Amino acid sequence: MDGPHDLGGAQGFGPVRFDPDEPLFLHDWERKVFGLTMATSTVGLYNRDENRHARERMPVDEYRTTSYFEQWLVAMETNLTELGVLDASALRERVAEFLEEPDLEVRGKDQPELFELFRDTLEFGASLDRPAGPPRYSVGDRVRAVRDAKPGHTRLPAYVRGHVGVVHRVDGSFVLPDTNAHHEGENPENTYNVGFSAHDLWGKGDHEVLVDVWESYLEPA
Amino acid sequence: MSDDAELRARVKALEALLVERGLIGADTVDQIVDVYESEIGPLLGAKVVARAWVDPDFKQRLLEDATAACSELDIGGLQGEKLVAVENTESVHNVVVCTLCSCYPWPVLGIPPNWYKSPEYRARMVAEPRVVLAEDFGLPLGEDVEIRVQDSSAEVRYFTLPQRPAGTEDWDEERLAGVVTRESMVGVAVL
Repeated sequence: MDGPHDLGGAQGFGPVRFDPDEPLFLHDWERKVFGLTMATSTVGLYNRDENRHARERMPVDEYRTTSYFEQWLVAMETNLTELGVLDASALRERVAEFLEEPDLEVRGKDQPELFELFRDTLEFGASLDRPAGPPRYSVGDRVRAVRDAKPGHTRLPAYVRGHVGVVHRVDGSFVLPDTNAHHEGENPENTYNVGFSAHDLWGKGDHEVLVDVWESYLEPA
Repeated sequence: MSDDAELRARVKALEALLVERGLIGADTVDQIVDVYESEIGPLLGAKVVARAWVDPDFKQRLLEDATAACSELDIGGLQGEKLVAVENTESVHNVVVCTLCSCYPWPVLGIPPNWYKSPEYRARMVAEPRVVLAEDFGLPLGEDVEIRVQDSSAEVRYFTLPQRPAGTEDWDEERLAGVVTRESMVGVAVL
């Protein structure tokens, strides 16, 4: 889908506000959002692709006026209530309660074994590589990125759709986000690193843009 | 943008319900974040770069298979399951972006800084990298330098191997690691 997240080449943005000394988290609630996201994904309450898709489904005006970690918070609220892990009305009640009494403490049991599980994930990763058939394309092949936007989650940036590029690298096969985000199966596919010329993409520029894509995002050119 | 009081309440409500239902522990969130605040960050990537500068065989292994090379230094794991290192030279300059979200090589560089995640960086770096590097990062590149922008849109997580600064020929690995910045490993700075 053409979501508000798909920003490559979008017009109208000003300078990047670069500050090398900025802290990782500007507010304590951002720190908590990061930790909660890592914790809830470690225990598998939702998968990575549906987490991304929950952010991408935000209305454009809301996405554009919402800070990065607030987008993460929205994604958790969306997924945990839609998947039935938490009840939306119970969540609203608790928000009202904490707005009324901000100093109320969160109480509950420690779960050291959950941190051990996170440690394992941290060390060994959560790779989504799965076996697939032999790759359809080879290094040097000319390929065209498909023109049509799929209705749901996808990882094909809009700015390369319909453009011709050259395969630079074949990267192995991974779970297809397009179906995994919607619980329609893992459907692993080979992935490729494909180079596009800036002049072709934007009508100007002398650089090369390299994009990583799943096999079904490509057709022979 | 929601105000901080509302955001704080929303975050606390979420944590309270998850903890009360036993889905996560009361101690979990702080323990996890602490790892990213104290253990994982660009100092790890700096070690990899310094090793590549002093050890040509390691450098070759790094450019061929960064996942395996980094694991020699016990670096790898979550959000770095498949790493690729790209080399910056006099004639080629690589820079890394994620236009769709904020993909970044966590085990090597830690979690991404705000500018990397910003809509400005994501929108503009693929379209006008020469302008963004020169004006927003103070890195004017000569017209003879070829720029390659790597959009991290699938499973590979990228970092750049910066050029070793001149005048450091007799430095040891540890001293070299000390001058390697996060920015130089994303490709928005040279050393």
